[in-house]
Amino acid sequence: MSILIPILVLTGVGVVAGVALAYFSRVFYVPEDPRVDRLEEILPGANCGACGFAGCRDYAKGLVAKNGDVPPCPVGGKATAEKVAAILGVAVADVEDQVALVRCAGTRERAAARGTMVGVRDCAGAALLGSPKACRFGCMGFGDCGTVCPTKAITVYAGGVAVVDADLCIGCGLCVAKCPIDCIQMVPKSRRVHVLCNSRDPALVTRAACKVGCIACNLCTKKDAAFVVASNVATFTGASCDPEACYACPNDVIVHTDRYGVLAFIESAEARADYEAEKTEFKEKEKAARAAARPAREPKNAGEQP
Amino acid sequence: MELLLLAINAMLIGNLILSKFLGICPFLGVSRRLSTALGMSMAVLFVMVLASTVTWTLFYSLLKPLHLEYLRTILFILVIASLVQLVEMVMQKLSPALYEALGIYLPLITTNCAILGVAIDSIEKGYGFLPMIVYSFFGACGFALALLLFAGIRERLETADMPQSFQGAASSLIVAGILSLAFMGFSGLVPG
Amino acid sequence: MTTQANPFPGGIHPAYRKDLTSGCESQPMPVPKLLVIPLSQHLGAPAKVLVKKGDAVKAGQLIAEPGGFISAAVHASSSGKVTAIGPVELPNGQMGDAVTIETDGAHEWARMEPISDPLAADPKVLVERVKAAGIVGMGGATFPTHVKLTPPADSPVDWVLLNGAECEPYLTADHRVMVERAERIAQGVKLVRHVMGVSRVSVGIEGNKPDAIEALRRALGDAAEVVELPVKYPQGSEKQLIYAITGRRVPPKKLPSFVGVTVFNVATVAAIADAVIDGTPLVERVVTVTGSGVNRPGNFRVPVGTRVTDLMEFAGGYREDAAQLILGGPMMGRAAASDNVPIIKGVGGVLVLATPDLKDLEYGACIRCGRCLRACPNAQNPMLLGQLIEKGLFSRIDEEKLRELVLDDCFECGSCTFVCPNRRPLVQFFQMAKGYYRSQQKRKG
Repeated sequence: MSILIPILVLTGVGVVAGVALAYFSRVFYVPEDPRVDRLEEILPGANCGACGFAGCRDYAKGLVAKNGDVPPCPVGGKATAEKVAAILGVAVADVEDQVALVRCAGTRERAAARGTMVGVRDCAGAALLGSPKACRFGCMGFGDCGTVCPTKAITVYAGGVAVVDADLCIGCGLCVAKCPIDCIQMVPKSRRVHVLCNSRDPALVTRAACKVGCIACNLCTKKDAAFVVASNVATFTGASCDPEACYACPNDVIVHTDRYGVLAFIESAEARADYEAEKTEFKEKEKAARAAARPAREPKNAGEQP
Repeated sequence: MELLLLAINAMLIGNLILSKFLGICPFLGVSRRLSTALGMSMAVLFVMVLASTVTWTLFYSLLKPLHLEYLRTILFILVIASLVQLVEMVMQKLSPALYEALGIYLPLITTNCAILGVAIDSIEKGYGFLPMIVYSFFGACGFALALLLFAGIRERLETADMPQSFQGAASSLIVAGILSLAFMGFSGLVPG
Repeated sequence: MTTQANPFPGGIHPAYRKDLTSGCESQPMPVPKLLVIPLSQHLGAPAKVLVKKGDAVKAGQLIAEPGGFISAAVHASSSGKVTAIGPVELPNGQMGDAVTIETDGAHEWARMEPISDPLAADPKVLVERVKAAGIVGMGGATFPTHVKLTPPADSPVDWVLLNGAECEPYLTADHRVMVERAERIAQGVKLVRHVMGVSRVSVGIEGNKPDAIEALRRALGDAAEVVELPVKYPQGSEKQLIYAITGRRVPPKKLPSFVGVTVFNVATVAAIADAVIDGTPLVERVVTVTGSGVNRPGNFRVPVGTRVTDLMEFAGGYREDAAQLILGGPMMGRAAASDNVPIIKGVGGVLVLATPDLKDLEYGACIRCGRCLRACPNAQNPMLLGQLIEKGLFSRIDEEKLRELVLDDCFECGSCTFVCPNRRPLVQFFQMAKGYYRSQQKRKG
């Protein structure tokens, strides 16, 4: 019997509190679309701001408010775009998974210097005075891009050039916006071939400024139509190509990531040496093949020697 | 005079965060910006005074007459939880920006040992109604003082050059410890 | 009617080192073989080029007309042939279009008609002449003068100031102009008075140029008063000068005409007189070549478009230990990566520093000493702003309203950088922040 009173008291207080809360939740009701919560759940949660909204929850609110008519989430890529479309009941936007690429291999040994930077060691600061490198389009190597990367995917290595680790890159594009000379580009994740040069200067200027600069000689375009030359620089626009097409480049500007990682291609002396060896071997084979093909001009003997 | 001494005790000598080490969670969590620290302090002040009043009344009008003093912990938690829910609802309606800024820390006031601590302490020390009000009000003021001081220091620390291993929580905790040492200096303020 | 100068807060007293060149009379430089004349030597829209490759031009001939309301004309500095029109490196390190002229040595002139009895002419005619002469502010800001001479109706001007302060260390170009062309400046003052209809004209000159003060007092007579200013950097900054002489404060982000004042550099006023009285457009200016890395420092009358290479050759060349080339003064000038850049209308100094003068420029963390706060002539807080920019905490900058309070009013005088014990490059931080906000604006707009 004596246990009844405490039980009653607790239950009583609980009921009173519950009723009061129920009443007040009606009075202070804040209407919110339930889809916002569902969308927030399926978004990547990186809160990087690449979509232009202040975090993923804000993006979810924007999606509901504009019924999907907002830029797609670059981090979530295709998978997220599909889930968003399913929740909102709209058509899927065409989104491709992208990663960032720094289009420069001009390390300190390869790129000529214009002067020594004193004071602020910062890309934005250097851009105000003009690059410390002779090439105005090449990576200045002060690492502003690295400071904004939410996954620490982009770092400046010993040679003085920033490189993106495509495995860590979530494709938010914050580094692209940060680079004051537009040296970083978004490329499809599936692309395996890259032209590592950003220089829009004409051939003579590029040649004087950097050993590994693209001089727009067009030798690559002859090997594969996916290479496109515009504004004195080549760009690969396809998904992949024959690795041997890359050897056409006289300045070794093109990297095929099936054979060499971008980082190794830029920084590693061994990788470069291997590449040189492969290229030389290939060129020798080509020369031999051309020499072998020439005797076919002589009148054919009876027989079927091709 | 008694009340004045009580107030000083609650705010400085027996500071909830820096002397009694209650309520560390919001102290470390919401003190990055002065603006959010201020918002949190106001919320805690309101909840603390209200919770103390309601629990004190409940204790002396319901539990004591029925000899159910042993139920105080569970009942106080129930009451505090409901009150914080109410505050959350009001805040979401009236100041959505602050609601977003405080985020997870608002429901954390529910389990905040500082609120429960003050409520139980008033009962333990046998305070009357007015002393209880003074104690909870100035206890919350002390909470606010510690929070604002810490937020100001943290804003300064944000721009300081520190070794990697010290950045973030490490430096904050060290500073909190030093602040705590500083507040120990108040211990001789009120005799007895 | 001598005015007592009002002191402004902050400021610094660097070693002036003007004795290297302050006594050197300006030597005319012979016209070089090549002139590179940029189309944008002024604030506002670049000029629109009128000549093409292969054209023959004469000295003083118009080669580009103003490209907008706020723009200026550009003239050939000597006779010759246009050999190229294309991008070149400008003194500020950026690229810009320029007309390259191969001079023929004859220096044939094509001046405009001198305006007889200019003080009786319609002011509009005189303003047109200033516009046609391509005159821009020669103190370095290069604001088109004809626009300054016609302030908008809602901010009438009652007091004109002439800036003869030349507070930058090392530079003595304006000093020499005041000593050697005091009469011309006086003529220019009378013209400006007539055009703007003001009753009060004052010339501000720092106390370290007593010969200039004397020369101008004699030449001006009653036309204008000469105010001796205390020697403090940056006394020659527009808003500080206005406060010193008139006691009026120009609010942040507002022009001097807002308080009824207009400021002209002394060389600009002399150029106005040249254009009206002789019909000569702005094709030449006095440049101080100085510093521990020059063989024969001095002041030179340089044709606009002369490459720094040629000018340095005329000044005796570089010394062995020359290490840094600065265009402008040591406080607000810009370091140049190459001397293959042209002298344009706004460049008044070429400073070459030798290695012993270049201290170690590595910087450290802010020690919160507060010296920069005491040095800022705007009485603002460079310390906190510098810390936040260095860490990239732009959200905090917005919270503390530092953009409105500090950045918008900062004219990059460099006083804060000068006094910092840890050599923090504060001005560079502010330039970066301004660039950041500009690019944000561009992205939104």
